[in-house]
Amino acid sequence: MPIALNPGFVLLLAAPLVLALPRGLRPPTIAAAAFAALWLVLGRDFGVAGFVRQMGVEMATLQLDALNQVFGIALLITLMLIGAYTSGRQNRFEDAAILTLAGGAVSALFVGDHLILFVAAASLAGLGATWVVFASSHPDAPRAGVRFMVWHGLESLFFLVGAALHLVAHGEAVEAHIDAGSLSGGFIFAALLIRAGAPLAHVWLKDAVSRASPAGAAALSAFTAMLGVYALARFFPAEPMLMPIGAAMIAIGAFYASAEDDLRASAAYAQIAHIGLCLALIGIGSRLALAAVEGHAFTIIIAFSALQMGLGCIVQILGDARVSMIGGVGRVAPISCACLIVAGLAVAGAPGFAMYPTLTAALSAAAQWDTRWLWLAFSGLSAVLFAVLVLRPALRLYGAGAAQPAIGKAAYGMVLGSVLGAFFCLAIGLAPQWLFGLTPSELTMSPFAPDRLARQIELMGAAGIAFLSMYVFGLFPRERGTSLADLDALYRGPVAGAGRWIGIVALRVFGAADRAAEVLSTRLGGATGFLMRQLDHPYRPRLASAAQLVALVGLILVAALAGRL
Amino acid sequence: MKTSRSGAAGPWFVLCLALLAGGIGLEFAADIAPAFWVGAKPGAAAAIGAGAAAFAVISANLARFILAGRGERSDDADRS
Amino acid sequence: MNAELGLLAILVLPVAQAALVLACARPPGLRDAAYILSACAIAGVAFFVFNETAHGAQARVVLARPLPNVDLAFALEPLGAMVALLIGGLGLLHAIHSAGFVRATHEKSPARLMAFMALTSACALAVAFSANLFTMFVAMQALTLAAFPLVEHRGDEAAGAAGRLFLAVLLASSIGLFLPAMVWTYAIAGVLDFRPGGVLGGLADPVSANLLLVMFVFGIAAAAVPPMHRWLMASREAPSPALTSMYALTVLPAGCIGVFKVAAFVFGASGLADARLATQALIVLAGASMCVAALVALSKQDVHERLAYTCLAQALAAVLGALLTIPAGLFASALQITALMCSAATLLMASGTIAAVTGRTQAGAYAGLGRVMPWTLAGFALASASMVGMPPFAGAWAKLWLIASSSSVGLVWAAVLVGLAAILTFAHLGPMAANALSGRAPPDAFIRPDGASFLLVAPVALGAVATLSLLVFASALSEFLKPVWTPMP
Repeated sequence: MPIALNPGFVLLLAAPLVLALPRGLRPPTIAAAAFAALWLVLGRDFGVAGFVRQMGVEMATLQLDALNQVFGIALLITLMLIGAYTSGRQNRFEDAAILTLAGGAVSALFVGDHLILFVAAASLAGLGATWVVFASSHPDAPRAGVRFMVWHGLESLFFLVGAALHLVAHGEAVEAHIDAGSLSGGFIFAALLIRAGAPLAHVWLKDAVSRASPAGAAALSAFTAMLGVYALARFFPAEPMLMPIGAAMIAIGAFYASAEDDLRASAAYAQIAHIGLCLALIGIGSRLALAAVEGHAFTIIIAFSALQMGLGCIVQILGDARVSMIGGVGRVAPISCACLIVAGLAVAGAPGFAMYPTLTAALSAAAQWDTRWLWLAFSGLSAVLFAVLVLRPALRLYGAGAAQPAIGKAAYGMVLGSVLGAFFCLAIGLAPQWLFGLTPSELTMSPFAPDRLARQIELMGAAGIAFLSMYVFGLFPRERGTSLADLDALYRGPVAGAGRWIGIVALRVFGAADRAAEVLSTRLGGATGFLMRQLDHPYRPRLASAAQLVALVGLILVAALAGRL
Repeated sequence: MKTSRSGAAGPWFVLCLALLAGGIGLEFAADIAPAFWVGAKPGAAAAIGAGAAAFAVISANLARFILAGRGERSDDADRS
Repeated sequence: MNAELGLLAILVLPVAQAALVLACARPPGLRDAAYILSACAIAGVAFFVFNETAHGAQARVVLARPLPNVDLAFALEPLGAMVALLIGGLGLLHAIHSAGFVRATHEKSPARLMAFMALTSACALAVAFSANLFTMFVAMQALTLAAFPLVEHRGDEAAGAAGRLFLAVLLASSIGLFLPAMVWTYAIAGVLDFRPGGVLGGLADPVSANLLLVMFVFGIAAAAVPPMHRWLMASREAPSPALTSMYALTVLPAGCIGVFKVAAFVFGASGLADARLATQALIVLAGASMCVAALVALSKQDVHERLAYTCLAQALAAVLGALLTIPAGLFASALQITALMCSAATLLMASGTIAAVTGRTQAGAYAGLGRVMPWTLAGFALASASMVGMPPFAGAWAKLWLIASSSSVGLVWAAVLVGLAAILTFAHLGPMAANALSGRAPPDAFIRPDGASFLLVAPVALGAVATLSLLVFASALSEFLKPVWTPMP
């Protein structure tokens, strides 16, 4: 008999357990919890179960349908890979944080349409993600964690306000979809855009990922922004605003991914671009587009986690994963670098690798005159990422010249996790039909049809030749250890300064009002005391005595008149 | 340390050339459905690819020129 | 034991606790055992009373009848039972923590401190179970007089000035505003009893209703509606256990309950409709003051000052909910009082533990303490999240219903103010908690060689668990409190 338990709860229960376990048992526990959750997902038929009544509202803790099943399977497979990956280092707090993050995200997936539970679970996932960043020993991790917490806090409050307003207007469950133009819908939409890394809020992902540990980066790339994609697909399908937003994310992501020296940040930007692709598809809203979103989200989760795991191995070896530092590492760590290249090819959508089938589905969905620019952006993205996430690092990894001195070695568990990630990147790419079968409207197209295959390999071939030529002739900037400013420089600089200035002015106004009130109350107290002392000598011929007499007479007159009336 | 930029480019260049040739050949040889716009016509993918590569190079140059921070970062990433 | 006996016991036991502690002042072990064991007894009776109320038991105890239709009476009803359970349960944790604190810091006159904290609990329970305005007035005066020695406990000049201000604000407002308002209500309605649905509805003309509401809200200065909030700032001179008692368990919550009872049981929906102008003005004042308090908290480096303003902001949220008067608003107010008590108690106990064990009282000095005091700072972080209103912690559901109820009556701007106050609360609590957990462990953090004792840490951890409780019990609480906003036939 299928158990009516939200699979995410299994992960949440495992989180405190992991804190108490010895090192050797933690990775198997993570993997076992993920396996148990996956078993719960696959062992149930679609439908609603686990009803509870909270605050006068009936909610279901488990709602399984084709949409959340796809996302759930991807997340849980990724968690198993991360479980293997974490065996390469010792950090019980990070293990618990990863399980909390994963548990919150998976729980949010499977509460379906119930907004309040979704908000609670998504916020828990956000707290878990914050903890993952804080658990890193990167010197800048605490400040990055605080910045991440600000974004998460803002998102949680938008969720709370939106859910409250939705509760008043429409009740707890979302029947079909939410109107982004309504007040409640607007708040929820804003919160989900922050979660998904939309422009203006796109900086948190690269900030968090580049300061997290290798395992933390893989977990953050899988369990954070992708929940936003899921929720947008569920609550805002065919929302027209998502198309330009998605296009902007593709442009911003591709721009920064091309220029970043830190490959982990570059990968995060690439993920932003792919998430933008998903958002644009949600905006298109046709059956094919929504099916393509689900498939593409699945492959994003797997491929980018694999990429971050591969980069994490490089971090373990060199101390960092900057293009300027990785020269010659391919000879020192061949397996890790091979996994990195495989993941890069998956992310670029090379035929035979994970994202190729879903990218072709996305291209098919956008292949209309009205959405031709989106189609162009999708195509261009694939070519850009092939150049910057495959060719560019490969040229350095396998380049001539002495290798950087290694300061460590990638642990067996980390290499194992990377290899498994690379395996899935290949498996999905070579046999995508099982993934297509999971999507709600089955994708019936064949990704290996000659025209699609031809177009993609022609695209990548031309991009490669052009990029290599420009690279060899020095048109691509020489690799240097630079950091690039993004909008967060604006937030941390002028915006924070403006906020501080407003706060200082407000506090000065408050302080002045407070001092004035204190002066007034002191004077009033003094005057009252003086009057009391005067009234204490009623027989002394003073003005106060006369005033007292007049007041008394007046009171008597008023009472008499009132009595008459 | 200044290293040669062309060292590992050779094999990748050959691979990309093979991909380009294969793609163009397959595109013209196979029975292709009518394109919905000029960008989807046979041969256009090569132009898009080259344009994308140019975008990547221009982006990198622009970003380094306008947005690069001063000095080199020296903090290591977390290795735990 | 029946319901009536339970009601009497819950009111008398804290007084007995005070007497017992004073009698067993030495040796310290006996004093602490007496204090904690009697707190256990109070918690047990509170649970019994809560259980009886949940099963529909009713009880009324009349101690005196000074005027026709005016009793000094206490009645068993859901709101009072809920508050009693919170005071009893959190009071037990507080008792354990106080025992640990006075031992760790060698606080002067610990028996006197504990005795007056017990007396304030008794008075707060009296406010919660008061059956009418007169009883509530008497209980409020007693509460003020019982809490005043806590403010003056340290005995120095600053404490003396603080105590005088505390007394002046609370007594002057209740005698100058609450008492005339009570007399005026008696003149209009002929009764002072608390009744679901209110007693003033339709009886008072709009001018009188508006004036009465203003006099009541400002007269209950314990609710700290500005400008009657100055006692809160003055009382920070008190020792840490006393602050926990006043802000989280007794004075401030009693003020919120007082405003709740006036809004729900004296005015009711129809009465507040008559006092529309004053209601709207007070909602504006509460909402704006919430934001200002949260902003001012951001500027305070002293942790106790910062937490005082935080508690003020949360109390004003409860007042705002009560003034909405619709069932959702009253439910939000009740949830907010519950969340305030749980999270404020945890935060104040945690800051007390930190001050006792490390000597650190400034927000900036908390960085990295979580590495050496993980349980305490984890509790601090969870309670902060609840104060902010982050799901899934207790405070989030209170904020959710505050926003929902505000917008359902067309006061969307009030909902926006609640959200803004939450953001500002996040700004002054979030980074502090985060830096505490994530910063580098400070060398030589402890001023005591044996670190924090179990007595100081366990209550913080259990208090943090309580902040999660609302997620599970909110629905049951909603059913339990339904009679509060269901008018009598």
